[in-house]
Amino acid sequence: MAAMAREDRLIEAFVTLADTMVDHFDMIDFLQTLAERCVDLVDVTAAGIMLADTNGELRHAACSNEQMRFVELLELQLEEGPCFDAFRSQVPVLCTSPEDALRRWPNFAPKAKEKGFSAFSAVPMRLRAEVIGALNLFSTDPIALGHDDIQVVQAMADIATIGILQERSIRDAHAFSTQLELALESRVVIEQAKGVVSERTKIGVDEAFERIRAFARGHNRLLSETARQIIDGSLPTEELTQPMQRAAKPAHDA
Amino acid sequence: MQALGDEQFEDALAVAHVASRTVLGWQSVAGPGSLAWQLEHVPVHRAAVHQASGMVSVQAEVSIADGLVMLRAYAFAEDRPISEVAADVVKGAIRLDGQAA
Repeated sequence: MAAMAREDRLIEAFVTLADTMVDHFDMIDFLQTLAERCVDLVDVTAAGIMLADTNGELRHAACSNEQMRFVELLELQLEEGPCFDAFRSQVPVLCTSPEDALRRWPNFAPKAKEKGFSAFSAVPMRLRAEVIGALNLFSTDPIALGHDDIQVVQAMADIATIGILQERSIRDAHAFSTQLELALESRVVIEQAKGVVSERTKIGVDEAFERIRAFARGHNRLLSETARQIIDGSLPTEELTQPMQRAAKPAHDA
Repeated sequence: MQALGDEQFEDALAVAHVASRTVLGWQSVAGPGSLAWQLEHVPVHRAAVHQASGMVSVQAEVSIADGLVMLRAYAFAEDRPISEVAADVVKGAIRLDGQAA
């Protein structure tokens, strides 16, 4: 790819990620954007983000692709894996080969391979001493990322973390862990909403998510709010299944 | 934060007692050197478990919280990990419509 094109996309990504001051800030949506931008900028199959809950355990927060096989790859890393290592060590984890992966993560690597993934790297989401989670990149091709790729991803993770922590500082300080908990909580609600939509409309959970997100974006609503409304019944599932009118793009793009 | 009253404290002790008996009971039947499966990393944060709770809530016309309870009850009765049962529900291999099986 042309160097300039990547630079442009990088700048655009930074601008998007710095934009946490909007009225409608939804952390899960924001993290998903971060994951998607990583996939745009470096040559990986998918990117996923795990955040630490109040017990210091990593939980799936967002993924560039919500298909279950990607989500499960994150869930495999509760006790071992690149995300786990980046979170604990607070430095980027760069895995150089499938053999390297197997040596480092004897439990995780074979399970990941079963799902078709053979290259992994991860960067911590940190600001100075504070680590809130980690960003994980995975590829189906056994090609290791270069150091420049890792730098790009670390820079994006840094910007996102600053954004998230900044968002905290405008609220009261102790609300932060609550806010992360809330984000993880909305993650749960999103999964539940996928189940509800999937069962009501007889489609798979992956497609259910696409519809929920298309509705939220098309109507300029928060993903978590939309999921909540699906669950409490205030948003009838039929509305989701109606073909989406391609509404104007959300105002904050302007 | 408020201190517990005498009665609350007694309740808390009772709950702790039940919890420890339950955990010991599970572990007593686990193989040597291994953890009872109920005690292995409790997969409550698995996406599939929440998706399945949502699906069961529609199938049985109950709340999401009750959907999760039904999922748990089913897993317990079948002596299977909840993550496995949840995966089956998501695949459509199991339906929990609230009728006795």
